[in-house]
Amino acid sequence: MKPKTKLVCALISTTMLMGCSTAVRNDEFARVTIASTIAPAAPTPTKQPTCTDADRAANPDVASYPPITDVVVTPKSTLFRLGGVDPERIIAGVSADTLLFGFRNPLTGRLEGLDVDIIREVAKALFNVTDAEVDSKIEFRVIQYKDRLPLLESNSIDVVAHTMTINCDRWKRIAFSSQYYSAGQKLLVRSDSTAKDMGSLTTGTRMCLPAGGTSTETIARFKNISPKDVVEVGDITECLVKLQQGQVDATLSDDTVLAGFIRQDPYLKMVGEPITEEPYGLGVNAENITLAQFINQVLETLRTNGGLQKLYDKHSLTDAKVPPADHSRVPNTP
Amino acid sequence: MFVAGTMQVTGAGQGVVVSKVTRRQLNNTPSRLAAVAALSAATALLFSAGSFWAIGQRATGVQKTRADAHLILVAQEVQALLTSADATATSGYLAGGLQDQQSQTQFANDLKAASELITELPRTTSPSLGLAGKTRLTEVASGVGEYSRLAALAQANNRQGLPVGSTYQKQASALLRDTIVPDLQTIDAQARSALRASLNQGSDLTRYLIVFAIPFLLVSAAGLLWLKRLTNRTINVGLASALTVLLLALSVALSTNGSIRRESLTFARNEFNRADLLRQATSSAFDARSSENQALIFRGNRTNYDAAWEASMLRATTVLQQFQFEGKGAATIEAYQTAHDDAKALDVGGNWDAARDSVLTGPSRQAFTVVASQLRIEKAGVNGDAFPSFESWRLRLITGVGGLLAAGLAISGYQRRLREYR
Repeated sequence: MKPKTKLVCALISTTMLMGCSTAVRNDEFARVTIASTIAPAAPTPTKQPTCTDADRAANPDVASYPPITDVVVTPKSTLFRLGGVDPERIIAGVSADTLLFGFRNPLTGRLEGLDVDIIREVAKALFNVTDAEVDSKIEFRVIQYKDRLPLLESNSIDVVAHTMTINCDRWKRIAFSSQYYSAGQKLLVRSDSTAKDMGSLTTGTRMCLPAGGTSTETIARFKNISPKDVVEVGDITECLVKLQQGQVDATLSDDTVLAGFIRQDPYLKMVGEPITEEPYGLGVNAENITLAQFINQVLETLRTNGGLQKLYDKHSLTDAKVPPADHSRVPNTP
Repeated sequence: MFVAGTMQVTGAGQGVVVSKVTRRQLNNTPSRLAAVAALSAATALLFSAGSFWAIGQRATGVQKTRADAHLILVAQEVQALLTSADATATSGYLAGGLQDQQSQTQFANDLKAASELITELPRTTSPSLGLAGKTRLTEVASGVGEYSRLAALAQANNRQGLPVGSTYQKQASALLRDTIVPDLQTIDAQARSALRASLNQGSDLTRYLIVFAIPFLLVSAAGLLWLKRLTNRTINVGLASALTVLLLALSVALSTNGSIRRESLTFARNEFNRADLLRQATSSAFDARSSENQALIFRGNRTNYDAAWEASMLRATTVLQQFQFEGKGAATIEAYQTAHDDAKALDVGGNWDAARDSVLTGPSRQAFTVVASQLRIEKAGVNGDAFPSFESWRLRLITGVGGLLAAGLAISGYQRRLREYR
């Protein structure tokens, strides 16, 4: 090959190499990704049992089991999640943002409220410990409204104290303690609203409700509120945020919860009379009747020694009256 | 349309007449020499104009590479700043009460820096982002504004002891996690894909230069051989000079392009990659810190937050291992992992208060502060923004003038032969 031809060939091959040798691969400069394994949400039964007229006739909603006192916590106790998983501690599902009942105090970081204190009373009796020791015997689990029943049904927690209304449909799924507080659903609107009650709300009023709460059933009775104007949220406090942000016009919930909202925002008001009666009880697994009976004994003691009224006063529920207990339900399991 | 006398020839007849005329015109050597000279000049001009255009394209490509790389780093930096702000906010919420001055300043500085970077982006953003990407950038900007508003409301409520602050904080964190970060990651993914394409664009210029040069090289080589046969002279000086000039211009262009490409790739694979990975690691570390706080805020629901913590830390360590973040850096990460595990054990064991103390002021907080400082030190030491630039006018001048000169030399070579022939 002549020198000139060699030069041309070398030049061409060099230029080709310059173009091809250092190509960027498709996986170069890619963002590093690691998939996280997030646990699935609590199981929800596909078909929810509902009450029949016969069920309602057999037991009043608020009727719970007779109290018992001879409960001893042992390493093999079946009180906890029905299998003695951890007899050292009780797992309690509570709210962390319902002022007065179950909330995390932003100034101290601690859980406070009537529901939380009742759980502490139950744990004190169950483990025979003092006020100072009791928190080490409770594992508080912050849960949402919609998770209250599924978590009890799946035995993921022992007890729920979360402004939970005792009603017949829920008795089909879980067991309740006796009533420890009496609330009623009311309407909450901005202080400049002209609404006087649920019936006076105009069509198109945007209503916020917590998913899994009893207010969902109540709202269905009011034809002036279209289902498309109902906004369901995970936690009731999200309704307060939506009201403050002007994303909804009203919310329907227990007067106890709404009183907590008004404490946090003076530009809100409750209107009308209570639409429903909402008797609150602690929830346990439907088969854990012994625990329900033990809780009833604790509540009975608090009723008789004035402890429950003191707890009401402690949490500024001074107008509330301690409801009577009904222990007429007959345990139907061994 | 061809006019012959008074008769107009159109349609199929036109081609036949033109073809006959052309054949008659090229039937003699001078005509052929003139035609080949014109062809040579045309191909040289093609190289001149084509390479001028292709180098311009390449210059735009280099600009895009710089813009894409800048966009990636800014998107990563914004994410790192926002996750840092969120980690500070969740720590403040976990602590309760009045937030300490240092945390407040850190939170405000992170948000301010993120907002400034986003505000600056539309001016510097890559053209490859497209309209959808720019719309997404606007959404990120408004999302950051909304995040700041919600976080401010959370803090205001928190300071007054109102638990609704937790819901505002939850909404702010959810907005960051579910909207702003995915938007930033989409922008980031688009920019990465564009960066790979623009880094590979260097091969396009090589191909274009060769394609634009080949016609002249072939015509000139054929012309040299033809003239050699026609005249029995070894070489036509004009034509050979034209060929040399064009080959020189071509090789200068190819080697310049090659060196720019090598420089860009070397920079991308080193400084830029390091800056990019450090930002990814930083946002992952702060993500982990947020999850650690949230596991204690939403107590009793550790499983999901632990999974998120594990994923974030695995990502951070995987990223850091890619450029041997060893020695002090690796040790700080390990120390934080150990401190976190201890705090978690305290919480799981029922001692939530001790776990909170560890995370807020104790070993876990101290270990994380060291990790964060180490990452900041490392990040400050690299400058991924200084992507190599390309001053294209010089190369455009060389190839443009080279092509014109080659055209002139080729014509002069053929004309010299034509004069000799006559």
